[in-house]
Amino acid sequence: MDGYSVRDEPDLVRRKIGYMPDFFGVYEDMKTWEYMDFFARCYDVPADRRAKMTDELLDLVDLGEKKYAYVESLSRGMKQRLCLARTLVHDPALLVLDEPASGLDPRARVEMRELLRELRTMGKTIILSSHILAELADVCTHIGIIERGRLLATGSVEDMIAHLSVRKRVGMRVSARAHSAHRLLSGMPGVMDVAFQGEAPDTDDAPARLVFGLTEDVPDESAVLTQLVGAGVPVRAFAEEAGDLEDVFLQITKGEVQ
Amino acid sequence: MQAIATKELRSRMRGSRAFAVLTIYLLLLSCLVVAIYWFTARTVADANQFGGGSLPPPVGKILFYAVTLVELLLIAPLAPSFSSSAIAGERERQTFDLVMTTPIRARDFVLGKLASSLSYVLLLVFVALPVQVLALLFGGLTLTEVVLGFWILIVAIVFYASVSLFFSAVMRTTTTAAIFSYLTVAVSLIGALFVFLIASVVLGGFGGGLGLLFSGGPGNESPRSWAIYLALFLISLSPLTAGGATGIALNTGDGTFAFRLAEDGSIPGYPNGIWMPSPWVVYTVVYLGLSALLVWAAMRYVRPTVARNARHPSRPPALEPETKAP
Repeated sequence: MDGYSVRDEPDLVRRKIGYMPDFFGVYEDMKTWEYMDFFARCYDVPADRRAKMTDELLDLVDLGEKKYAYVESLSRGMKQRLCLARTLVHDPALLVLDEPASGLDPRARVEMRELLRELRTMGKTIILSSHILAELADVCTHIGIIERGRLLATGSVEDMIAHLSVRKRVGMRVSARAHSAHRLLSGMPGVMDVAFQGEAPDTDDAPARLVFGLTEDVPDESAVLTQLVGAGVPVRAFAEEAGDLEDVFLQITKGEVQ
Repeated sequence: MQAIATKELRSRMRGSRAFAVLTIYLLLLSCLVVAIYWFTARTVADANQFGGGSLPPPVGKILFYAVTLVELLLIAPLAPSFSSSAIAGERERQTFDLVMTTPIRARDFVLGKLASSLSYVLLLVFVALPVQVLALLFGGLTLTEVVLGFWILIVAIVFYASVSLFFSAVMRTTTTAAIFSYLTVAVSLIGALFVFLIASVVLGGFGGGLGLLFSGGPGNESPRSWAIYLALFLISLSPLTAGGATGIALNTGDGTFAFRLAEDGSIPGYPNGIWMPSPWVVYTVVYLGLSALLVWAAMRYVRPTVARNARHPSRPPALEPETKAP
């Protein structure tokens, strides 16, 4: 870690890392500036720098006005931002953030995302974990997927999604004969994961939307469309869907961790 | 250590709670001093008026011993209440891991917690000092007695805080840590006394042993010397008995650190008796030794564990070899 051995020089490594847990532990009877001051002392920040640094970091996370407020009186979003400011007291090179946006309202999420982007421009390396995969694509350059302690895949966001597009996903809308289409698709070679989007229609005459995946055995999806139309399925829309991180995740993991 | 102690003291001294505890404690102590003075003065006056029996001890001495005893009984439950939540409380609030990711060392963390707990309880002792030394005005009390009484109180507080801190580090919840801490305090205060009484019965000859430091008369048969030493050790295990026995040992005039005892254990200060360490000395060694041990153990529990590969320290620990099929 930045030239230090994690096992043999843990103290030096700790000075390089800023850690933010997913749960914000609250100290009772503590004001915001005292919270910052306490952790600055833990990181041996010199006394003459502590006050100025506290002000600057609180301003950075937009909590300057809450300097003298009790920590327990802050909202969840404010606490998360304070926790992020706390991870920066010793100017670490690496930030490890566990679910930084969990439990936040939409506005607080956007603010958190902006803050992470700002930290990135400041040259910090940020490792963050999240279950909200759609948001990761906005702030991350690289992703890694871990299941049961094993790193299953890693790479840049673009590469991972591009890798996924080799196995295309197609979305299709039919005005009737949805169940017939489902049966037909399920029986075709190279077609997988056929499913109704939303609830399956009660009768075969009702319109429906289906999604399915294509393996590398089917280089051109028009062959599938031709077979469906040939079988009398009234296809209203048929288009390839853009892959996202959730698709990457679903394909790579085996669903062992819920 | 300073970071932890500063944070704890800031939180502890904030608001009215800390000052309310101080005020109530001093009020209780003052009321008790007045009651004890009134009762003692009356008893001494009656004894002087009617005469007959042996002269009672001076008012100052009775007052000082009584106040110190009350102070000990008031403070003993407070030390665990502050220390037992020190580390377990951090775990409950989920702030423990957060602090452990900082470069702060387990040693500084535990000592900081101990310092903050002790400083408040010691504050209680210091604010009561004027009430405690009031007894000096009545005479019959030496400065050595005052200093030793104060010392026994402080050593007890250090031990109770250390025990509570140890349980706070070992136990997951504050409640469990508090229960074990209070049990230890109870055993320390009254348990040693019971052990001493039981030992007196079991050892038989103890009627003539150190038990007479309290009863003041000779026994039926002479105890063996090891029994006398054992009795001294048991007496020294409780601040209550150690304090009382130290007062008697000081009255022999043999010295502050040691006193002589007749070979049958009956007469303290016997001219040709065997020299024994004063109970407060044994008490100090035992209590401070145990305190150091408990604080050290707490540090061990708090320290984050790092898996190490003994052969190659920089590599991950070796995986368990796969078991071969028979």
